[in-house]
Amino acid sequence: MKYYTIKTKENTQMIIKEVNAEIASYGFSLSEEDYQFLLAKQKELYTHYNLIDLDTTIIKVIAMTVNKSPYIRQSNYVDLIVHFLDLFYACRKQIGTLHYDDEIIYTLYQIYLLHYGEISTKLLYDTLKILQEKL
Amino acid sequence: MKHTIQSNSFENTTFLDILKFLRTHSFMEDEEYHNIQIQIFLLVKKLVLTHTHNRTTTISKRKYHQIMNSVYYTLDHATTYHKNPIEFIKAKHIAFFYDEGKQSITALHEQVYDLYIKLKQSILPINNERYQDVILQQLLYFYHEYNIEYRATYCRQDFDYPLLDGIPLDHDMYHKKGVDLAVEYAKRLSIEQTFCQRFTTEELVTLFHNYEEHVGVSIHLLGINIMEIVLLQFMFSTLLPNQKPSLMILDSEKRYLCSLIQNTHTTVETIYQNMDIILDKQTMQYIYRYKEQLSQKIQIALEHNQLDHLIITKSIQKAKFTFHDKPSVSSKTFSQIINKIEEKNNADEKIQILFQYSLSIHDIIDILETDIFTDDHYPLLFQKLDILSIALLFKYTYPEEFVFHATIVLHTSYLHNLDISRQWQSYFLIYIEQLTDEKKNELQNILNIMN
Repeated sequence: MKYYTIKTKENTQMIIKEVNAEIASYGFSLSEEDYQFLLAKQKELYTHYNLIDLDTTIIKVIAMTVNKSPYIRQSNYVDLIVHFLDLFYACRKQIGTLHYDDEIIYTLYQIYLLHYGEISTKLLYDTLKILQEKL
Repeated sequence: MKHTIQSNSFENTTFLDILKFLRTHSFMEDEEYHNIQIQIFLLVKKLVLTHTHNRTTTISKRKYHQIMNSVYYTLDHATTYHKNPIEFIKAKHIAFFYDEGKQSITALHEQVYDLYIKLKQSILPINNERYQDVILQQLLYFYHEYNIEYRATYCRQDFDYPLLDGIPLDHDMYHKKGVDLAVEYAKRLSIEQTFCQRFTTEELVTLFHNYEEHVGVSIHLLGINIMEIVLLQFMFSTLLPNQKPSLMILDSEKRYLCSLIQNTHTTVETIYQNMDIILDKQTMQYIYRYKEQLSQKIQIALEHNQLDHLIITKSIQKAKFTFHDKPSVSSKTFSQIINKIEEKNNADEKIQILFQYSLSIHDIIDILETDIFTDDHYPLLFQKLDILSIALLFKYTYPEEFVFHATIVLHTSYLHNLDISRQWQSYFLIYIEQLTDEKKNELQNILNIMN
């Protein structure tokens, strides 16, 4: 195995450890496979919206926000993170770079709770409306 | 077996191409290559975070490519690694190369401003929209808009004023981007302007006034190259015996040149030999680009027996004059013209002054409005104008007559109903009324086309 592959692997393991330490108290965990799947999904989603994300921190931010949701279990935890990634990049495409990542994820989560955990187009529209009002 | 490379073989090679070469020829380990990619990625990421004010690392693909291209463009402008890429291109040096490239681009950016100031201060007194726009607007806008970090390869300006060898677009923008393109264009324009400055303002103004008369069109909106017109005239004047080359060629001299020029090759060679003695090396080098074009021009003119079309002579002998629909002269020039007219006693001499300047129809109206001419001058003046000038004079005197879809018919009752607020207008309408039916129809057609 090449030096830089080892470094990347070490990095991934460190992130997973950090996320798991935070979400464990809520009864969730992420495996290395889950994380690799989320990385692939992240790339697929931002490419779909004609965007580029130079960091993977957003996965960590989402994972550590949605773990508080009363509407999920471990079995659909990764799916919810993917849905949030999709909503996040949809918002970014619409509103540009005027909001912080955390701000968008926080707003998305608040609207998600107001919609009783239902992921729909309306959730996206309501989030965009609130974010635009904040400008 | 590893290839050997010469120290100067990468002088004009881009950073990416050198990197590719080093990798494909095993001059660089995969790990080092990967580390270089990481350093470049970190540079881009830092720029993205600055761009988004640390709000996000997500940006549009378009913006990302702009930043990425800017980083590579900046690395291309670093000079150190070109001397010995194997030794110098290392991951730990990338940040240094980037700063070095930025300094080099900043110097070029400042050069654009210096050239803009130089060109602006010595702008030629030629009323051509593209020429003035490229100097007064495009170069300055480029300077203000240029962004080294985020849009280093971008140049919104198309530099549409054609140089001696055409517009940059004809030459694939000289295979340059961003500040390199702007500097190249400004340098070429500066050489052209410096050449034209060999001649006095009066010589240039007269030449272009004669040129307008010669081709029958105002140069205001034409896509011409000023140097080409000046240079052609200068080139032909070098063929005249016992004379310092100038822009003024007399009719007799033109006839002499037409009889002298029989062979394209000999003529072109003689012209270039004569110019070699007069002009400096840099200007000559630049003018050599025009050699083939000159040969073609002379060849075509000889084949069609139209050599006289290439040589511009004084237009004083012409019976009719045209004043184009172009911007007015400066108030200083206007006062000079008025003073000159006042100095003359004879009606013919007074009117002749008007034709010595490259005036627009608006200037003619302004002069008429000053009442500087007396009643007996007006018929003489209108007789000297060609039908297009009469039509333009009518259009700007009676703009209310030009109603959408209305047809103008110049019959007597129509002319009698037009308002007369100035003395010259009554003479103008009488002049139109007295035109022959043929001329009146021609004028009518032009007026209706203008409508």
